[in-house]
Amino acid sequence: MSLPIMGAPDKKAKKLTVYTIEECVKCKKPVKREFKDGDLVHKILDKCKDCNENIMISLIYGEAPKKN
Amino acid sequence: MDLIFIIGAGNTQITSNPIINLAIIYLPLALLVLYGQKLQTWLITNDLSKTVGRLKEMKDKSREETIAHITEGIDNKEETIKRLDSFLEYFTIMPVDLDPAGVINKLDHIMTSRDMRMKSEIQQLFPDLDELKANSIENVIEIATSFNFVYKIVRHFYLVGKKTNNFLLLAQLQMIIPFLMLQADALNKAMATFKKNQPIGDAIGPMIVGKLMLEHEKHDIAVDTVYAESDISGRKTILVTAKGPAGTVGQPGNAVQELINKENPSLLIMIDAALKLEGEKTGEVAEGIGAAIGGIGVDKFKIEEAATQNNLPVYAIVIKQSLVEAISLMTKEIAESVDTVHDIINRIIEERTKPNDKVIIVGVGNTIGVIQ
Repeated sequence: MSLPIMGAPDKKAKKLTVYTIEECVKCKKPVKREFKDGDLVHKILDKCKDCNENIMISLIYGEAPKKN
Repeated sequence: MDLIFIIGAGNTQITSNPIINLAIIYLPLALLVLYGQKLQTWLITNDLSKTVGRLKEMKDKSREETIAHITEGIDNKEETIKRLDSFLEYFTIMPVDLDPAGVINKLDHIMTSRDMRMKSEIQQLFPDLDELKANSIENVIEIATSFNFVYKIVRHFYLVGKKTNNFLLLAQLQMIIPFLMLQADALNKAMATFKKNQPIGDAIGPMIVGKLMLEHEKHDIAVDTVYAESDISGRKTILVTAKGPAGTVGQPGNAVQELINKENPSLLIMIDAALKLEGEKTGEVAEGIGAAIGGIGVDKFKIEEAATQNNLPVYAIVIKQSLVEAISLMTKEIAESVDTVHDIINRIIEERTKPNDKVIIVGVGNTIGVIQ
C-alpha cells in the first residue's frame, strides 16, 4: 500500500456476508456458497462429478446483502 | 409587549426598550467576545471526551476478543492473559537517523528482531499450536497492540489539552480524529477477519501470483517467502510471494534482491494493493512504473537498489482499495480483479520482453487465507 490515508469512516457501511466460490479446475463451473471455517483460497476440496478433476476454492470474498 | 423591529443603518433594535435590547443583543455579544474561546474549548473537550470513550470501548473489546481467541482450549488462562497484557505494551525504538547512511540496514535489523521475538514468544507460550493458528494469534495480538497504541496517543493529547486548557491543541486533535477513527474502524474489522483466516484486501497480490504458482514446485527463498518457476509465453517466469495461508507479508525485499542477482532478469513486475483516493472505485486496476510495495521502506529500498544496479525496469500493477478494505475481509470487487491482472501480466510480458527472457513477478501483501 503506497498512498496516505484519505477520507473518514463510512458510518453507512453494511455488514458483509462471506462467500466461498468453488470451481472445477477443468470445467471451470463455479459454485457459490457461504464461507465455512477452514476454507482457504486455492484449497483442493473434492473431485468434480462431471469430469473427475479437482474442485478448488477459487475465491473467498465479502458481499453486501442485496436489497429485495 | 409589542415587538418592533427597527433595522436601520447602525441602529439595530429588537424592541423599543433599550434595557431589553441590551440584554438580548449586546450582553450575549460581549459574553461571546470575552468567553467565546472558552465556550468552544468546552464544546471540543466534550466532543473529544465522547470519542476517547468510544476508542476505549473499542480497545477493551479488542483485548477481550484477543483473550477469547488465544485462550481457546488452554488451561493456564491467567498466565496467558498476563503475557498478553505485556505484549500490548511492546514498543519498537526506531534507529537514529541523524546520519542517514546505513539507516535502512539498522531498520531492517530492528524490525526482523522484533518479528522474530514475537514469533518465538508465541511459540514458547503455545508450543503445540500449528503454524496457521500461531500466525493468526500473532496477527490478532498485533491488531490489539495497534488499538492500544492509537487509544493511548489520542488520550495523551486529549488529557494534555484539557489540563493546560489549550484550545489549539484540542482543535488539532478534533481535526485529526476522523482519520484516527478510520484506522480504529479498520482495525476493528480486521480482528474478525484475521481470527477466521479469511483473505483481506491486501492479500490480492499474493492471490494473483499464488494462482500462477499452483502446480509448480515451491522453494523457500527468505523468511516466510517462496518462489516458483513457470513459463508464460515462452519466457522463464519466476513467481515470488509470501508463504500462505498464514498471515504474513514475508521478506520480498531479500527474495527479489537474491533472484535479481542470481537470474539476471529482463523485467520485474510487482503487484500490490494500493490505497485509493476518495472517489476512486474499489477493485480498479492501474499500471505504473516503480516498486509497488508499502511498509516502512526496507523491502522497497532493497528492490529499488537491486533493480537500479542491474538496470532492470520495474513495472507496477496495483488494485485500488481503501484502508478499511485493505485490512478487512476482501470484497467481491477486489477478488474479481484476478483475471484482469493476469491479462495485464500476459500483455506486459509479450510486449516488453522477448522469448527466452527471464521475468520476475512479485505478489506483494499479506497472504492470509491464500494457499500457493
